[in-house]
Amino acid sequence: MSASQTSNTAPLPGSAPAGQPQTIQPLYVLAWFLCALFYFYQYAIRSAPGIMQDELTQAWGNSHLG
Amino acid sequence: MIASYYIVYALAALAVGVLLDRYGAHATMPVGIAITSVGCLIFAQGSLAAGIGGYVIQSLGAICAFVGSSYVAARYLPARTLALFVGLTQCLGMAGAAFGSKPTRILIDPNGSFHIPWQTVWLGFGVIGVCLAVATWFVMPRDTGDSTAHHGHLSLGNLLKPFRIIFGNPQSWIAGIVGGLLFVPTTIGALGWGASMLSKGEHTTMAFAASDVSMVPIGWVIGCPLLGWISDKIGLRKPVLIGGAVVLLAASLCALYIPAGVMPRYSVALVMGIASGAAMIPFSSMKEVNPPEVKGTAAGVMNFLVFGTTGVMSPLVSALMVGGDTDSMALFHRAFMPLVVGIVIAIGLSFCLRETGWKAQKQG
Repeated sequence: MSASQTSNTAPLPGSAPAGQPQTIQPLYVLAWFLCALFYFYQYAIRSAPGIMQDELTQAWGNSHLG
Repeated sequence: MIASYYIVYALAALAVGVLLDRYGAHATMPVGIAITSVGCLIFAQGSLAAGIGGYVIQSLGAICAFVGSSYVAARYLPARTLALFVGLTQCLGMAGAAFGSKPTRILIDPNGSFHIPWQTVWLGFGVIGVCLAVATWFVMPRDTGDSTAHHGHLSLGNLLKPFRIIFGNPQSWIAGIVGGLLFVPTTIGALGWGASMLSKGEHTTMAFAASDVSMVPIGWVIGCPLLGWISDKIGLRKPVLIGGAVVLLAASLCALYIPAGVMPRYSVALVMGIASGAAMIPFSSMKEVNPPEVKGTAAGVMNFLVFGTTGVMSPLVSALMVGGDTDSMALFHRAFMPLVVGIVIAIGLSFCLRETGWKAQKQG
């Protein structure tokens, strides 16, 4: 890793970071966590049609999402 | 039908990777989350057409989730913690798949205390998604990606350049195929066919089979961050990858050839899930064997190769299941053979993978 890629200053939202930091920075961890939460959320909603199949069949007749 | 879904998903993951590299996560992720929420709001309209349309739109937005999370981990978190955070990302996804539907069931249960109409649940999902999109927009570093410096102006040649770099590197292929081959024993084998193998082949009750198989995602939730953490701690990728794959092979052979009831209950399924955490290690290797300016595209290509492997193996196993005696283990031994051979190939290929842990980087 080259020296120009290191940055140990605290990040501010709105500032463009110079490169990949070498230490854990809370704001960046939060940014990652929101994306990971999105991954959790999309799995939860993608399994939702399956568990409401009875209700969906009632509303749509016999067709349902495969 | 399922195979075509995998192909579309895999191709879309490639596109998301390029978008992340060119325009950065601040421009990409909130849009992806917002698209998914809009899909939920459309679903909430209640008609069949709205349901299908909403579901497709949700899936499109959802493609950003894993590729984006691993991009953010690779771009903004220290290189020494990459495998841990990639593992934690997958851990959250698996937790969403395993437990995310439980609250929904409680809310809409006609005999439950909430008894909320299903349309309202989708409205709620949409609102949660919009909040998540806004929060991500505020928190995500305002960084336009590495586009201007490395990717040149928008042209077909420049769009294809990252793919030429990644696909031209044999190490990318090794990482992708190893990851894919280590994924399928649990996704296709255990989660797809495991319950029917236990109930029909081993003649256990369906309830026993279902609860045994449900140990596999719990194993994933433990194994993904655990193996990533070990790899980051010791600074090496290959020993953790190969060790996990060997344990996965042993657990798969136990599941296939040792009768149910001999080993302690849940142990084989749980160990199989934990060892599958090794499948996440090549996701870090993929980023590390390629130049930093294509890390988003590399994450997309990794998804593409893993889903491609699933897309090839899934119909193969299904085809081998046809025409045999479903009440004997012999059929399952035959149909799962490609998965077992796959693990052996993955172990062999892993030895050809370049060691990219920080310990090797330091010496190199």
